Amino acid sequence: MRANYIIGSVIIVAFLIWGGTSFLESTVQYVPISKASVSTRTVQVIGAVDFETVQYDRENLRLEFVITNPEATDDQQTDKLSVLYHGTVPGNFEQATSVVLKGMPNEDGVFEATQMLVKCPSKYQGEGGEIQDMNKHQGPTTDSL
Amino acid sequence: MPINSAGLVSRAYAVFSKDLRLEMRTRYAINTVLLFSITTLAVVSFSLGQSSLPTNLLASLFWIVMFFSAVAALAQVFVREEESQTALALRLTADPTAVYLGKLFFNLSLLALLAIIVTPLFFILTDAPTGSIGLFILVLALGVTGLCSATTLVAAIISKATAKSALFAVLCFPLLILPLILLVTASDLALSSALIIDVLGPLQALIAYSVVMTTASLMLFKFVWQA
Repeated sequence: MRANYIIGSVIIVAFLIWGGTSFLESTVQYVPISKASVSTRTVQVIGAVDFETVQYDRENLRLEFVITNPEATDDQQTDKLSVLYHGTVPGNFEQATSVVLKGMPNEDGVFEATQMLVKCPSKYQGEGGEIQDMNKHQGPTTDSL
Repeated sequence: MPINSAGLVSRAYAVFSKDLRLEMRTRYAINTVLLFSITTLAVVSFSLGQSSLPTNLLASLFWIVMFFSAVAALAQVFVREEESQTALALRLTADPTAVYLGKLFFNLSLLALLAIIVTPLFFILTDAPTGSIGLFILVLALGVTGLCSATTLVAAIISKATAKSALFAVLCFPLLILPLILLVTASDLALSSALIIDVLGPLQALIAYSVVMTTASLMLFKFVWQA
């Protein structure tokens, strides 16, 4: 019986440590854009992609773009953050309403993202903006994306 | 006296098949679980109508349904033994480890059945975005094992108490709050079409939780059962 308990306790402690570290790593803070540019540890930031600034270097797999505050009312006054992302771009990047980036800023002030999550609209509408429905509406519906 | 491991498996299977046969006769636990989950989903779908919820709300809704179904039905395995007074006979005929493993597999089957029925209904009724379905199923499987591994021991503890269902919920809450947070986070990511590398943190923590809970339960069950 002794041996069983010792083995069991060792297993418990080992998995507690393993699980604890991965749990602590997975809780990464969300910060607003203004704080993300000066952060010294890994943070998450959410922003809307400014599609005119997207530059994709296909050979080196570098994606650079600028994100803005998605809830800002004034286009000029919003916070902007330059982002650099290494790796393959998800297929639905073009339709992204916002992206979630995990990383930290480097010495040049550019936010280096180790992970990027693309948030897309939950409903994809047709070209006319109408939701194809069994009860055909006369005009475009006012459902939000 | 050394435990013959082949004997252990067949003994655990005997306990499991006894519970399964009992359940098939009366179907109390299955009905409870299905009734609760389907009613909740129907109400939510009715109120949603055409609109859809953001993914974090959908994920938390899904795991609320699973958690409450678990609390409603997973204590049955031991409570039924005590109430029909067959617990003493079970104590005499089977060793604690076999009893625990049999009951654990019964709870796993029950919750797996619930998951199989609820998941398609959930996706249909709430119009959830089908992001990474495979990842969602993986998270679901880990969640089911985590929930069962924690609740089976607690069910054994409360089976001899007086206010059983209330005590069961109270004791389960601190144990289950951690995996539930992880599960909601991971499901939220899965519904938002994340890749598996984004979800590695919560997945690792969930695997660790299931292993720790099952090992601790195996070690402690003997004392609970023969208290």
